[in-house]
Amino acid sequence: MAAIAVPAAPGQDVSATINKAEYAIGMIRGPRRIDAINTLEYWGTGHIYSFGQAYRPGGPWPPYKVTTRVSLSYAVPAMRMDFTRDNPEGLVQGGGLGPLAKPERQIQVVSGSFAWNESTPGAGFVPGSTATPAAGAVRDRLLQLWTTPFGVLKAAEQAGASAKVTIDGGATVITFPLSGRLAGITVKATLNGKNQVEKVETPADDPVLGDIVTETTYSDYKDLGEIKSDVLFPSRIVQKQGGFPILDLTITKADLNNPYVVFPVPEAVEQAPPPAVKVDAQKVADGVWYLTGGTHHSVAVEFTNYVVLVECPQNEERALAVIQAVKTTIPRKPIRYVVNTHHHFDHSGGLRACVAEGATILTQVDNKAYYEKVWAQPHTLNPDTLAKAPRKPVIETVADKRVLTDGKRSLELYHVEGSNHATTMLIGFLPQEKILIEADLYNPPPEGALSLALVKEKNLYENLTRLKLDVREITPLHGKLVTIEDLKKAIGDGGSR
Amino acid sequence: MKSSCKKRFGFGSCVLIAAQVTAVCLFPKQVWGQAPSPSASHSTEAHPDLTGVWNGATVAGPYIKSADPLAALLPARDGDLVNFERDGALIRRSNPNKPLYKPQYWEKVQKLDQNENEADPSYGCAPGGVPRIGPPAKIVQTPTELVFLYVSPPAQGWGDAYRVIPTDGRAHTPLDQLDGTWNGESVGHWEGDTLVVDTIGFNDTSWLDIGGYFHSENMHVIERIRRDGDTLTWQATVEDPDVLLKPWVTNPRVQRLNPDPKARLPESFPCSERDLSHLVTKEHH
Amino acid sequence: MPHTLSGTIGVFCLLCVGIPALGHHSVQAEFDVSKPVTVTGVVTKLEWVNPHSYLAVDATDESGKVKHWSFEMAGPGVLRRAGLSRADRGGLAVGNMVTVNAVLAKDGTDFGLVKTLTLPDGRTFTIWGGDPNAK
Repeated sequence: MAAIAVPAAPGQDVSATINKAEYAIGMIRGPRRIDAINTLEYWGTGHIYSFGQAYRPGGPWPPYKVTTRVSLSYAVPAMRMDFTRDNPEGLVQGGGLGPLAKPERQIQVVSGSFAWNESTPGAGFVPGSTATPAAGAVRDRLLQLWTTPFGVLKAAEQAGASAKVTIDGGATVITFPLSGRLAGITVKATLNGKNQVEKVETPADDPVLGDIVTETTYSDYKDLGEIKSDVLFPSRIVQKQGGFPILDLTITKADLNNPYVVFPVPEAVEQAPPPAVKVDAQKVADGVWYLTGGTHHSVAVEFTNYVVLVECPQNEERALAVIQAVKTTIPRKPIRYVVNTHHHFDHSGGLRACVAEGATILTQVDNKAYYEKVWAQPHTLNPDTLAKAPRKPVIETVADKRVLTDGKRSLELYHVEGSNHATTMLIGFLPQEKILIEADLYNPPPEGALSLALVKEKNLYENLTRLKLDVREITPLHGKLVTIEDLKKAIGDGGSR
Repeated sequence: MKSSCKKRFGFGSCVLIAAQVTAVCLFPKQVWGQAPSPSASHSTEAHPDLTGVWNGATVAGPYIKSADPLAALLPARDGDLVNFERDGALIRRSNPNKPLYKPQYWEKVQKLDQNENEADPSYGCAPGGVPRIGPPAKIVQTPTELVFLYVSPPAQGWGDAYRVIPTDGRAHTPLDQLDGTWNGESVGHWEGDTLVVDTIGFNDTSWLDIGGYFHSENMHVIERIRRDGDTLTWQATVEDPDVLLKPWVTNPRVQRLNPDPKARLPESFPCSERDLSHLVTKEHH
Repeated sequence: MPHTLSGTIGVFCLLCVGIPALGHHSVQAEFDVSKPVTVTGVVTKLEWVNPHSYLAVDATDESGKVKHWSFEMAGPGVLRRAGLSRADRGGLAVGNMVTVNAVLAKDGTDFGLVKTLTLPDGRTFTIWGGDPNAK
């Protein structure tokens, strides 16, 4: 199938351009020239990078090895991404749960208007397996489907008269809006000299960075099927988000001959109630509350005239719920300080909401310049409270140690040294109550998992010893209440993996 | 000698097959909601009479003479055989109506599908079975039974076949007393103007359709056949809770009455599989 | 009086697109469409079976050596309508001298897929339309 040379003429017919691009990768078939692609599968290996989990603030996302199998159907529409992450060469520096004690498999599915995660493909219909609803992920997963090379061309066709074609630096660019569940997103697809989809850019909103771009690059198209179908698929897929790579895959094989792949929605997923943010306030000591109810916990410490909230995580929705829980639990005392344990986005994503609330942010010194820079970035796609009513964030820093005290109670903040997880990690210690507050360094099983060779847990314990902290209880920001004995037992049984 | 056309979804090609086949390109009609158009001559004992030769033809003669015979006979993109085979395969396989297997069988269906050349019983000239054999080419209806007669298309083979569908109200033989066969044991009854054929007692060797769609011996097939004037619509529902998550309903197929009142059925040619030993790749269509 | 009768008898279209339930191996799984061969010889066997009819031809080369060729053709229904099946009506018979234009099997055997067949009386049948965009 010969490629058709595209003259670089401005104002060319949009549907002709889309058609040529479809023809170029083998979508248009038969004497009636119809789009014959419905399902496909591909397998790849490479690296997947944990977005928002850089070792240093402003640094690249940390890589993990990945093998993946993706099955999709444009007719449903549906996609199943079955991927296994493992540690990269050398010690992981940054988040993403590394170093993993064992390879971690995730199966992420979207089908129609439902999204869920599977313990095994088809979970929910296989005895002994689980299908966990993930309603919040529907849009993102559908977007993954419609930014594949065939998906983007099908979606461009759907956009009809709203699609535009321009020539950008000699390259043909198709710009069009998505619709339905993805309404509001404008896609930009760039074609290479052979009219193959070379790059797809879509906007996204991030609670920390604001408006960001997801950029996917496709290269080296081939018929990768064992049974040849003359459908071409990129042998290399590279994805970037927030300026750094999040995926780099070499496709090892593909079934491009409309394979049998199906995506039935389990009843439990269909009937799952919409996800609601909830905060459970558990008193762990006089004036100390452990705020759980989701995946990322916080701790509220009541001082005489104010509250210190340790961690304002994830996003505005969680942050506002946590703030509300504090107000209900400790009425009439303002949240004066919000302690940010470290810069990873899942822990810092709610800070903008806490800034809007008027709190002073306490964070490790290396974060200040980073937050001031990124919080000034625009949030036009999904404006949060701070974007709508801007105010200058008040950030105070902790170098190695800072003590918050009002004479009656103290909260000590310490910088963790030598952690592979993040350079800006802080832990909190209540010396009277002997309670340690820590994030990500010790995630007690079964909700959490221990790291390979207990690297993170041992480093935490070394810091506790160095600082001579007399810890009795621990409020981990992932998992459940534990004691120092639990930590000692975890690292005591060896690290022999 | 019939073809069916999946033009509705745009996934099939309406192919005018010339030279060897007097075929007609048919559009599946949604007939279930329509009122029937009965006439006294079509009724037997208050039920419609389905008797007839249902391989209606509109094209006479062996050839389609055309300035570009390839355009008509080898409807390929750019007239290229390679394109034709690969396009045809891809287009047919893009049909979204697939049986929904239990997840533990997904890999099996894929493997059978990929190894079709070896694994498909019909490639080896075995019978098509029910529902794969589709609607009959000729029906003879009596007050107590219907005889369904089938022919193979002239260039592929599962040979001549027949089924007898009793409508005398008898019940099925208990399943555990039935030997599994290709066509199973059928009983028929009328629901209004629709003939409902209920079949059990299958082997597990046949496929529901091309694509690796295997089934169990506990399969239960319900076919619904209805006549509207000169057209016959057939549709099957396959229940097989051993392997399927839910029953599979085939696309409806519409056949037209042969306009020649003296039409005879052609004899199917014997089938002999000779290509397997020469096959070098797994391509199929 | 010899005359050429050119009729294209496309068979492969029949097998796939029209009838959803039936499938067929691909021509390309078995034959190399870019490797043509022409064989003139004596018909030694004819078989009218499904899905393909078969033609066995003995060809003698210049040195007098005989090669036993086997060819696959369209199904018998197709060929019958083209007038090939009944010897007494101008069809093929064992002993006829024919010229076969075919494409070779990929597995290296003396086996091919017929494109055109020329009968003793000069009639040529195009069993399968060739590809004008031959690679």
